[in-house]
This record gives sequence, C-alpha cells and structure tokens, in this order.
Amino acid sequence: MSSRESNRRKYVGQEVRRKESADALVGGAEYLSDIRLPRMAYAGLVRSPYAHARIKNVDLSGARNSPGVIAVYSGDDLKRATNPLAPFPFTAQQPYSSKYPKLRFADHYCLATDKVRHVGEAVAVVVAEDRYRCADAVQEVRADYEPLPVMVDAEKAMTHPQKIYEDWDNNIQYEYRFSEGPVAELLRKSHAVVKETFNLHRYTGTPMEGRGVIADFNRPKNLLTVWDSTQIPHALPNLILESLGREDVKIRVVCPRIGGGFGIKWGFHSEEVLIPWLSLTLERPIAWWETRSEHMVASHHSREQKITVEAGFSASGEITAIKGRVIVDLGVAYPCGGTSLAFVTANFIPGPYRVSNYEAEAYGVVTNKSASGVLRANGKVESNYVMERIMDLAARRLNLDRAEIRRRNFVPPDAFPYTCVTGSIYDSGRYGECLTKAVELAGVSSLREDIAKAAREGRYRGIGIGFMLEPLSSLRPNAYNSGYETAQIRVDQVGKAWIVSGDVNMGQAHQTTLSQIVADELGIDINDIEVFEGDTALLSSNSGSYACRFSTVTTSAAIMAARTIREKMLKIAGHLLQVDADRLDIMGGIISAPDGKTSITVKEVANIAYYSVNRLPKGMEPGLFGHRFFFNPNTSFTADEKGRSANFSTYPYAAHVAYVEVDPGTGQIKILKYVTVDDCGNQVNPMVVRTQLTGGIACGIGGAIYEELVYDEDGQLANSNFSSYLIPSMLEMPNLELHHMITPMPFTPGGFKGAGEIGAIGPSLTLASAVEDALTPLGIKVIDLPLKPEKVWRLIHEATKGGKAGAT
Amino acid sequence: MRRVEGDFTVQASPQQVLDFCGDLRNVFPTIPGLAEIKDEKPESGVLLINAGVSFIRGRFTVRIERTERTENGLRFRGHGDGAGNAVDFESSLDVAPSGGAASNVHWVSDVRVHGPLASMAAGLLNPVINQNVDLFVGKLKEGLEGESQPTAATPEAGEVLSQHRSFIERLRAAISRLFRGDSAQLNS
Amino acid sequence: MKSVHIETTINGKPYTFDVPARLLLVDLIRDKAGLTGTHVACDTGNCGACTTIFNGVSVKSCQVLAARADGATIGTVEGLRTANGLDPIQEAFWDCDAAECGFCTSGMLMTAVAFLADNPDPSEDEIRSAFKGNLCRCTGYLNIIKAVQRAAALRRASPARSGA
Repeated sequence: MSSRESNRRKYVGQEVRRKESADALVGGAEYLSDIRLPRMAYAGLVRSPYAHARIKNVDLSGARNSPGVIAVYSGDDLKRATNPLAPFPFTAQQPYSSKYPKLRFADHYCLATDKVRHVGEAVAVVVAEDRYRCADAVQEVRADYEPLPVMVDAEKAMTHPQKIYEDWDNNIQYEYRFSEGPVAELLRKSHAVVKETFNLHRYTGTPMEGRGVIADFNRPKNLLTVWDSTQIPHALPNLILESLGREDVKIRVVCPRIGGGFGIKWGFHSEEVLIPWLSLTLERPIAWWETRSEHMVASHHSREQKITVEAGFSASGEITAIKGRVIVDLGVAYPCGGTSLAFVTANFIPGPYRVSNYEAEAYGVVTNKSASGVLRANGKVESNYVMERIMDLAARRLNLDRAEIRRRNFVPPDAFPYTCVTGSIYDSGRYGECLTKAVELAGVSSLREDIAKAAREGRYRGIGIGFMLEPLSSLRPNAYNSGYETAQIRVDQVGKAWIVSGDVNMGQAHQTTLSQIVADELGIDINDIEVFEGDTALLSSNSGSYACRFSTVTTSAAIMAARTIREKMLKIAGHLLQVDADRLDIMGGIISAPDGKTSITVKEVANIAYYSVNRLPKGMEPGLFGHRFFFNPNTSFTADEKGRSANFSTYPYAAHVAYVEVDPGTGQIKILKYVTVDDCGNQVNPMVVRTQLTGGIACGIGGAIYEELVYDEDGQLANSNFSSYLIPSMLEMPNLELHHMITPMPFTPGGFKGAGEIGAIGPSLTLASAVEDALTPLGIKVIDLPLKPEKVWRLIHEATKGGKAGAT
Repeated sequence: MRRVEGDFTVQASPQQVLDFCGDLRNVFPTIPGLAEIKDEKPESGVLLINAGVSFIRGRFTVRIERTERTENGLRFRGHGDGAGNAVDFESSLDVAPSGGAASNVHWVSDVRVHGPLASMAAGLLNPVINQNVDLFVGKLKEGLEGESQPTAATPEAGEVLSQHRSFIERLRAAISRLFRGDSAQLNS
Repeated sequence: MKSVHIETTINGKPYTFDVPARLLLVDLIRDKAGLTGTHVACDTGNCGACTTIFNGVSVKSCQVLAARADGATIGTVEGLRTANGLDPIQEAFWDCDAAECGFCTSGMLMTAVAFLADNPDPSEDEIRSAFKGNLCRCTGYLNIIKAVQRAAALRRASPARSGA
C-alpha cells in the first residue's frame, strides 16, 4: 500500500459509533410490524396440528361468518390460482451439470392441498380487519385429517417404504459423493484409526423479530409493493412472480428495519407468495407476521445431522486419510436452502488440516418436521465440530498434546492460496500461530495447576481447545447466490454521497461500515454519507445477506464504485487546477496538490460536475456516479472432472480456549474463562467486530448447552416457545477475552474476511473439549450435544457408579 | 403419546358399571367442560367441550364412540379438534367385583395430542390432564352411586356444575331404571 | 365484545381510549397510541422486548391488560429523550455498541432505567440478574452490561440528567 493510500485511511480501522443506533435507541426504527397502511387488513394462517396426514376436508364456513372477516381461502383456492413455490436458492430445477450433487424438488403450493407433511404446515388463510378478530376466526376453521405414519428419524427414512413425497422413489432429496485417493487402503494401513458417529441435534436461530410480509397492490400503477423482513430482497421479485404466475405485474420488494436474521430469513416461504396473492386478489394492503410459537414451526430449523467420521493417523499424529458419511435431516422439502447443508459439511470436514485422501458421501433426507435451512455458519458448525472432536480423541489415543497434534496437521502459512482436497481455495492464513497464541493467552500452564488443586478438593475443572475454519461468501451454479455484489454510489450537487448496496443490514452495521469505507475512498466526512439497502426499486442485484459476503463482495463493489468517482473528481480538479490528477489527494473534503496551497473542495467539484458542465474536461459526461460489480474471487461455478469445486472465496479462522468447572451434583457447566484469537483479515470497525464475535459466541453457547428442538415420535414439537426452548440470557453469557490477528484477504481491495458468523462455531467444540478434559478422571467421551445439565449429570453418575465410562 | 390410567372402587356391581358406562348418554354429562351435546346415541356422540391449557383453549368438537363391549370391559375411541389442535384417544375400562356390591374399575387412556398444546411443556399438560381426569372420574362415580360428593372448585367444575344440575334428573332417572332392571327403557 | 374506557398518561401526555376489554397493554401502546418503539418478540412473556414502565415499575406490557392503564402513568422508550438530548442510558448504549438489530433495545433500555433508579451502583452480578428477563440474540449481552455500568456512572456524576 502506498503512503498516499495509508494516509487516506481515516475511518477504516476506527471504532466509529453505529449510525444505525440513532433511531433504534429512541424507538424510531421502523420494523415490519410497525408499518401501517390505509385500509390494511391482517392475515392469519390455519396450521396443521398433525405431522403427516391427508387433508380430508377444510370447512371454512365458521370462519367466513366470524365478525370482522373479509375473506377465507383454502389450499384448493390457491392451487388453482398459483404455481408451486419456485426452487430457491436455484433458478432452475436441475442446476448441476455434474454427476453429483443429485438434487430433486417437491411441488409445494403456498397452502397445502392433499397432504400435510409437518406440524405447522398452513392449510387455510383468514383475512380480517384486525389481528384479534383474525385470530378468533382462525380458530373457527375446521380441518379434518387422516393421520399417516410419521417419520422423524432421517437415517430410517432413507430406506423406509413410507414416502413423504409420493412421486419420489424414496425420501432422499439430495445426494453428494466425493472420492480422492486410496482412502480405504490408507485407513487399513494407519497406525491408529479414530471412528465416531455424531448425532448432532436440531436447533434454530430465533431472531428476536420473526418473519413477516406486507403486500400492497396498486392496480392503477400496476405495482405490487412487498415489505418483507428478509435476507434476500433481490431474489424475491423473481421468486414471487414465478410462483404467482404473474409476469405482467411490476414488483418492488422493500426491507424495513430487520430485527435479526441469522439465516432464518434466508429462504423462500409460503407466506411470501400467499400475502402478495391476497393483496392482488382483494386489492388492499395485507399484513402478516408470525407469533413466536408460530415461528418455531413455520420458520426453518438447522444443524440436525448424523455424521460418521473415520480418520487415520500416523504414530506421530499426521492424518493419513479421512472418510465421512453425512446424513442431514431436512424436514420437509421447502425452498429454504437446506439442500446445501450436506454439501457444505461434507466438503469441509477436513477443514484447516492438510488432507489429500478423502472420501465422503452425503445425503439430505426428508422427514416430517419443519424444514431445515441455513443458520449462522451453516454446515460448518457441524463440520468443524466433528473434526475437532476427532482430533481431541486422536490426541488422547496417541498420547499427544491436543494443540500439538493440530499444529502438525495445519495447512502451513506458506501454502496459501491452498487448494484443499475437495477443491476449495483457501485464501490466506496462519493457523498454527493463531492456536499457539490462544493457548498462551489463556495461560494454559498455570490453569493446569489450578485444575490439580481443584481435583484435590474433589472438583472437576478442565480446559477445552478448539480451532475453526469458516469458508465464506458462497456461490452456486444456476442460483440466486450468483457470486457477485454491486454498489451504486452518487456524489450529489453539494458533495454528499448516496450509496445503494445490494446487501441487507440485520444488525451487522452495514450502513456504518460502508460509510467508513467510502468516506476513506472519497476523502469526505462520514456524516456526509447515507446508505440504502434492501430496496429493489433502487438497485437490481442478485440476493442479499448471507455467508458474510458483505466483507468480500459488497465492500469491494463499494470500493470500486467509490474509486470510479474519486478518479473522476481528481480528473475534474486536475483540469480546473491545471495539476496532474495523479498528484492530487483528497482529505477532509478538500482536493489538494502536493504544495498544500493549490486546492478545491469536493463540494465545488460536485457543483461544477452538475451545474457548470462547460468547465469539465472535454468529452466528459456530467455528474459523479459509480456503479460497479465485484465477483467472488478464487471460486468457480462448476466442478472439475474429479468433482472438485470452489464455492467459497474467503476463509477467516479462530482458536478458542475454554476453562470450565463441571458440578457433579447438578451437571451444570460454569465457564470460568473463555479466550479467543480471531483472524478475520482487515477490520473496518473493531468495535463492531467484537460485538459480532460476542453475539456469535452467545449463539454457539446456546447450541452447545441449552438449545434443542425436541420432536416426539408423532412429529410434535415439544418446545415451541421461549419458556421451553432456552436461548441464553444475560445470566448464561460468560465474560470473554477476545484477541485478534490480521492476515488480510489477498484477493479483495479491502482485505476483509468477515466476523459475523465464526463465533457461533467455537463453543460447541471448545466446551465439548473442556467438559471431556474436566471429566478425564472418569474417562468420559463427549460426542453428542447439547451438554444439558441432565445429560452431563447422567454421564458422571453412570461413570462414578462403577459402570463403564460413558459417552454422551 | 401419553398414557393416563387409574383405578377406583365404586358402590355398584360390575354389571351396573358396564351397563351405565356402556350407554354413552350416561357418560357425556360427566365430562368436564361440557358445553353442548350435538348428537348422542348409546354407542356414540358428538360433544362441544370447552378445554385447554393456559392461553391455548377453546371449544373442542369431540366425537366419541364405544368400539367394544366384553364380559368385563368396554373400549372407546375418540377424536377432538379445536383451537388449532387435534386430540386422538383410545380408552378402556375393565371391571371386577370387589366384595359386597362394589366393583374395582381399572381404566386406561392412550392420548395423542397434536398441535400447540403438544408443545406446552409436558409439565403443564400432564397436571391439567390429570386434574380433568380426576374430575371426570369423580362425576362418573357420582352417577354410578347416585349420591352427590363435594367437587373441586375449578372453572371447568363451575361450568360442569351448572350443566350438571340440568342433567341430574336424567342421571337419577337412568339409575332408577338400572335398579329396576328395566332394559327396555335403557334405550329411551 | 365488552369495551373499556381508559384515561392514561404515556410519556407525560394524556390519552383517552375506548378499546375492547381483552386488548393487551402492548397493543394499546403500539396500535392505539401509535408508539411502535415497544416491540413484541414472543407470546409467552419471556423475552422482555415489550418492557415499559408502569407506575414507576418495569413491566412486560404483553402480560398486562390495557384496562389496567386507566389512571396509570406509563413510560416508553419514546419518552426517554428530552429536549436536552438523549438520556444517559441511551448515550451509554451507543458508546458501548449495545444495540445491533435494535429489536430488543427498547426493552433493555426501559429495564435499565427502572433498575438504575432502584440500584444506582450495581455490581455486575446484580445487572445480570436484573436483565435475565430481557432476551437478545445479536449482541451476546456483554456490551449491554458495560452500557448499564457506564450509564450508572454517568447518572451518579450528574444526577440532574437522569431521565424517566
């Protein structure tokens, strides 16, 4: 970076207070359920209580006669009038040209017609003048069902004759295979083989604001406006029009303020077809938003996978070969992105380790539960967990230090960019240094003394070590995540910058960080910038917010667009000042020459660019605009002849160390110390990075200890509200010691990698490692989660009774 | 699936118990939360029942039918839906003499709850089920023995009591018919 | 449907309503008074996003019937800011990056205001305990703890600025 470039940085790297908080702190932010439109009516959904049943009859008469009701519709009405839900995230039903992955789709209309396949599937809709009377009328709809056998076990469902989709030959929606190297032979010849099967439990993201949709069709304008608390506004117009079969209508999708997403709002849902259809049909604004207990069945879940890993090791702990088998419980086959889970997990089990011989088979299987889709660090929480457990178990087997066995296997710093065995190209990294730093900062050696002292007092304390690699910024062939992002910037007549980005802010401080970046590129004050996201009338783009792509493609598109404007401003200034544009710089809104005296303000240049165009260089168009696209670097759309593909471009990583005490009487885990070293490349705003990491770790702690969606054998969800689905409160959140390393992303102008998700990966693997370490005297293995007090207590109880050492 | 079961002793002979409970028209008025009998026959019926747990409550339409009568027992099956929930149950009653003119009754009910009620923690659902079962069994015994007993003061009990008074005459009449052994009038 | 007549004060302003008897207080505030800064994030009274101040005490307004508002004095997030600027708790939240998506924020702020009025110099454990009924999914809570500590210090330094 030139000295001029380094002088340019004024905001990037600073802890600027979030612009977004200005309205949130005074109750002035407008979320979906705050929108009030004239003549707005409310929709309520009638949802199936059965997990699997034929619909015999839906009697709408009671609801039709209910006070305040405007209209009532059932599945038959919607099937006649609409198309099945479009196959998001793909734009075509057969997106892959290679042999694998194999993928198929189901036709789901926005209301069920012949069958329901999960508790909560919508069978009818009521529209009423207000929400209370709408809820009354929903209760008046009488639906008769004929229950069918329920499948809640994905592995059994793979071969079970009871088909959830009767036109499929079995219950497998997705299949992926990969093979490189003589894996079976290498495993046979290995000094040690560690093999485990992990039953990873189902949980979800529960953003504090649930999903919601408001649609308003203006017939004279032929304009359908849809407000949606979604992560994919730029995919929705096409998805909605295709599902409605109404290409004649213009559609605009607007994101209001979004109260959290975490992947749960990345998907295409029934209500996103139904509510627009209601507005088109009734020609009134129609609003719907879910209650919390509705959210728990109607929005998607994630994480439920059964993974078997078999890894071979040499005597000194080097990995020889790995074999993996992944079965993802997809629930119903809704278009919410669950089909990528099996691929992502299977691709990244080897993770940060040098593995040349790898074999994987992965399945996505449908069951009678709510759909599985993406969730913060989707597929990678699972892949990192199983591999880290294997490394700990291998260390134990080979009598090696847990950090040392990892160091011996890490991709070394000089190997980057590194093409891993499945084809992904890891950008940059110093993995060993990161882990070593975490272990040192945690003071592991003095903690060992502490542990010994506690043991003498009959207490169980232990240290957990975990390393995680997170592939980010994804693309897929023939999909809405089509691999690029765009930014449109305009500097106006008075020198203010207006940015429109194709990404979506759900709490990640996009407005603030984009302002920091563009302020530095343009040399202007951060308060002279305004950022807009999530409005398809302002910008056409591909999808929205996911996989921390903001840090890779969105910031890069903004930087490129800003540089276009910067170059133009300097050309104009150079022309006016009679100085070579290359010798000019912009700082604090002033464009000046090296002599420090010859200068002109950005405002003056802007004014001239619009109002005194005769003073512009000959042939130059008026205005100050930049609209650029940036494509995911080091990726490819198609797999090679060996099935290797590079679907992710950016790879932040982290090491976590946890120091815990386990109470044998209650099974509770107390986190005494939690230390992290993160490398997310360059940081736009270190304060935001720390908050994002903290929030991610809180989600990870929830998934590791407290959160679990429990289904019974009838497919009933036993805990669909916050009194029985336990997300961490302030009491459960430990203090953290967060540290950083910076290894920039080499293929983007900003060098950022993203910190929004990786925190969620750490706690499950680090706390499993810690609890296992704490209970070493009892010889317990930690395999399955969550580490609920009851589960931990049982393990201890069984081991101390003199029974064989247990596993979770 | 939840199984609830219990035993009680009643001052009536096994034959009387089977005859009384075998005619569902005697059983319906004893059900807690009963709001209306839409259709009734000795072997089946459709009822409207006010029921629920916490804020998940409403009017349930419940169909009950007697599926089997043996020498010592009765089997029933039922389905109810309301407030977005569906409940399916299969119940049985087995009777044995218990010295003197009394009987021991063992009952079992396998209940499947579907919908929002199922996702209330079992800790809430089970006590409510048990509470209603106690109430129901109490009323059944009253009907069988023909004498009034103190009942728990619950909202469901309040509703049932007001319904109950209007049915008490029917119960008394049915019991008198039983004791007179007037089988022709059992079906009236 | 039975109707109730309510005369109440919200953020120092008098309001009169005639509403259905079953209306919840949170819906009175959001739909009838149009103050949408108070949010609904659950349906079982667990999350605290609807926290307001009712006759000086923090309450989850989804657990109170609107009818109870008759004759009561209610404070919501919109009332924290004064002509002189933001309340110290709002400044502290901003400085400590204690708001991300913002959906839980108004509930957090109102709990903080009521808590600090009772406990002007709280320990970290006391803060954690006081906020156990306010759930957040974005921040991981640690910045909120710091913000409350900072607000407590600011309020102790200049008591005249303490709001609500």
